[in-house]
Amino acid sequence: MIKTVNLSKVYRTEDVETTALNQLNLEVKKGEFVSIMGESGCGKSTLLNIIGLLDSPSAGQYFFDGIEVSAYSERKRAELRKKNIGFVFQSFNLIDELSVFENAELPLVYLGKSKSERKEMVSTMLERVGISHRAKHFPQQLSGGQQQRVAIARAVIANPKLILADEPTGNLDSAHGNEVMELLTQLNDQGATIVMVTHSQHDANFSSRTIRLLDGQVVTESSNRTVDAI
Amino acid sequence: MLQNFLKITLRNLARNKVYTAISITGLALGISSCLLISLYVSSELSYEDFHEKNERIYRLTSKLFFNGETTAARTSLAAGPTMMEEYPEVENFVRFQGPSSSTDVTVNDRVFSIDNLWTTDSTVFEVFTYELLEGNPQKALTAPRSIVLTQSLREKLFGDQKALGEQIKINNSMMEVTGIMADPPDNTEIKISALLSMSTLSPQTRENFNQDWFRIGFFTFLLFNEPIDAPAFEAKLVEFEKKYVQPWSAENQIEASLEYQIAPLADVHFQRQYDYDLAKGDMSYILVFSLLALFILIIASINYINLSLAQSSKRSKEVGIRKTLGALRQELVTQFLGESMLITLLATVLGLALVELLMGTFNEITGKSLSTTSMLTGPMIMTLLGIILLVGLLAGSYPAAVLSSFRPVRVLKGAIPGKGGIGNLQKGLILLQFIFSLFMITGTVLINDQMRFMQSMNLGFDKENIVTIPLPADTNLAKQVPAWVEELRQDSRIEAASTANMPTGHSGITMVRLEQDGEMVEQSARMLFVDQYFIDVLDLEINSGRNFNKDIATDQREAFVINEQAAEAYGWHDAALGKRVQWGLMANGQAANDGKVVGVVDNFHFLSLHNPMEPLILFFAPDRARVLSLRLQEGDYTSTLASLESRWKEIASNHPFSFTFLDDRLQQNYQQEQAVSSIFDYFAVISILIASLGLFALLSFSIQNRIKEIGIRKVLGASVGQISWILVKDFFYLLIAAFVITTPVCIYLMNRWLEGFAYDVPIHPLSFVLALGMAGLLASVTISFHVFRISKADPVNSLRYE
Repeated sequence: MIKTVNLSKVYRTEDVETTALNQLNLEVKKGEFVSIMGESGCGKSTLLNIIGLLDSPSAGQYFFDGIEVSAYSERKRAELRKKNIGFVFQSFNLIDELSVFENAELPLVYLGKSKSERKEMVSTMLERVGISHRAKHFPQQLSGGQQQRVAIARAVIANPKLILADEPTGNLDSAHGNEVMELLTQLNDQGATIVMVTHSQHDANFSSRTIRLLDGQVVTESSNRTVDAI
Repeated sequence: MLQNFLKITLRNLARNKVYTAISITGLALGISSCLLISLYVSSELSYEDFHEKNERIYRLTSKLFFNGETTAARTSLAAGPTMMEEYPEVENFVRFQGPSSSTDVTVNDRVFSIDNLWTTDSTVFEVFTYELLEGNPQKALTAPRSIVLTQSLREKLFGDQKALGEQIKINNSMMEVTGIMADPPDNTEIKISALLSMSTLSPQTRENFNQDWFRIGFFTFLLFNEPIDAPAFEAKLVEFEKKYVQPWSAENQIEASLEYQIAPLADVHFQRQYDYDLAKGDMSYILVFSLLALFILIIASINYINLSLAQSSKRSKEVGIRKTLGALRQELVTQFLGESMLITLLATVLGLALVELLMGTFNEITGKSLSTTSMLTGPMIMTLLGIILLVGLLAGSYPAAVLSSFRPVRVLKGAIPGKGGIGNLQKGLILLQFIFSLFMITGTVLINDQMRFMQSMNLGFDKENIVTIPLPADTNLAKQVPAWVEELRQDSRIEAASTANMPTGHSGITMVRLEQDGEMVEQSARMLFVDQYFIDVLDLEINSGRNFNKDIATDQREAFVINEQAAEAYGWHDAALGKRVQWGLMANGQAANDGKVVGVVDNFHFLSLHNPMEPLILFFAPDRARVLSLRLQEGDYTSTLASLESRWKEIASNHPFSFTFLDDRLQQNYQQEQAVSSIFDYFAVISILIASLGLFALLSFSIQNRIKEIGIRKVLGASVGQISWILVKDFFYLLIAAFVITTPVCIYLMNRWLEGFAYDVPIHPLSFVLALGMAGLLASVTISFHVFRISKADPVNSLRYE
């Protein structure tokens, strides 16, 4: 599904050059649930942004579904993004001016789905994440957990091949955090590929594999399912 | 997708109520000002365009070389018909004599005073497009003593009664109503209330006019069979002059020549170079007003741009999310442009309501009778759509470009581009707003300076407390006037009473012969026909010699009083007394009046201040009285006017009584300037209001964005003054920069404007300082609100807030 070869990202300001990713090699297979962990500044978010086609690498190759996409134009990346990738953010990133229903509907709008189709898909999705009773509410009227469920609904509504989650529980208390992690696990069980950046070992335990980064490189990889089994 | 955009736009607008209100109000004010000015401009530019044949109609004018040059909008009576005979391309012609004003019309023993009565050819309905509602256009103006009334005059004179075929009395002659025409539209110079047939002129009068190529009293319009090359036809007219005018001049021993000019009907309204012309438009005002409209629109658009950019930190997250979800940049550009279009549309609706609201005042200022329905013309609708599109794009494109360029990775992380102070572009835009606002304030101050200067200028006579009463041309009345004047002179409430042939502020030009180096030389001169009290009423000083004296029998024919300017211009200087003057010239070298200068009066401004001081000759002719002037005792005039009216009813019962005060009448000479000044005042206030609103909103954003900085500075001990300075110093520098840029431009433009006046106020540096002070004060008031808020705020709150 995802493969990076010697992926590097260097940020340059006037006097300082910061290497966020340093010749990073990584592979995520279809249906996997991978956690990426590491200290602040180790390059986790940069990696996620590149995987999510929100950012482009300075060097190296990035294969998405077998296609080299690192040199894609913004237009092509936007096209690929809207059809294949769903995002979940730590700060939910819902549009305040849109209701729960409308927020979840947004990717379908950009995909050009018809109104009736959108209505049906959104209703089903909101049902699935357990927020349908709040469909007409606005983000500020919801708790953090509820907002994140809407964000997840929005991330998966277009049935993307890949879900990227950037510290999805970072702004939630543990009860709501667990709800969200269970939701992601369910989605993974139903076949979604998930890559999640997290600080929390607890959350990482929900995934099948954990990758640890340090200074822009992969330092360890471990499988979590065995831990689960204990 | 569209629905989604619309929803988010409306919710965004509703959420930021203050900024929405400021944006929309500013744009609405801008759009309404722009529409009002467009209406004015389009009305000015559309003069005479309702005549279906207007592309083939040309106005004939004459330049008279006769001891100097007179450029007249009118021609002799014979020019039109002779040219039609001479040139096959001239299909038709029509001449107008007039307009007569304050003409008495008697209908069923009721007397009305009417203006805009013209004598014209029967071809008027063939050449011009006047709709004849009743009567036969071919015949209506053929017979002598035929009159065609406009619909509104018909209603005034006859009410609901039938008018066609009825007799009405004008100046003691009976006329038959042979037609009723629709009132001509507003956009014409030839304002008509009634048309009298040319054949009504007595055969003797017509003969006199026809004989004389230099009696230029008629507007002549030529209808060609197709649009022509005007200079080429003018070249032909040089031959025409040689063929017809020269032989006549030679025969009558007149050393004079003519030069004919023609101009397309559409251009006539802006031809200001002619004497004896109708009220003109001024292209430079059209340009200035158009610029004014554009300025206001730009100021309003800048507000929108600045407020959109200021809100970009709020919108950046939305952009980030949309992009993450796969929105293309062009989709976002479309969204933001759509938003600005929607706001412009909302502002336009409000703007149209404002236009409706302000129309009355605007008409009062401009002297036009525009209405919102005047907007339902093709060009005006195009203008409106143009404005919407222009403002929508002007205001929307930059914010759209900026907002859609945000990179999702950065904005979602909370890094907001441009957050903090006010960006360079915003500064540039504010500078532009300051420049436009300062330009308007300075313009307003300088224009008002000139208006005040003209009002307070010493005219050389006392214009206060003088009431003027027009005297109709009525031989019975004329006989009684001298006695009435004597009677009025006995009234203690009246300080002085006199008659003249024209009210002060006007004068006629006639041909005279003047003694120069022992010879009599012909030339044109300004003359007024007055009685012996004229000098008293205006309180003029006799410089040398004496006033007219009715007891000296020869004064009636042989006495002239001149002004100092005349003594200088004619080269007489201090020796003017006794110099010979002839007036009422006859072809054989004789003159009806042959006399001497008996007195010299100090100069006084008998014309508007657009004109320099000119030579003037006063002639003693109490029998030519057409206006009675009275200097009243200062105080309550009511009883004086009431007794004047009751006396009038005794001696002139068949004429309506009317009066005007001289200072009001003189004021009318500056009507156009007054209108320009008022328009400038109003629109300057509007533009400054819009700019202030924008500044207010922008500053509040700036403070919001810098609230943490302000908090930290406060914690570290900064005073309110220091913090205020940090916030306002950028604006302060921008204002100074705008001042430096505006001042030379204003000086240049004002000098150009003042060239139109013979007497202009010196441009005073203080005016500029005053303008800067006003702009600074307004900006300070706007800013001080925020400063007050900051000074009250607890720094901890701002830190916590961030």
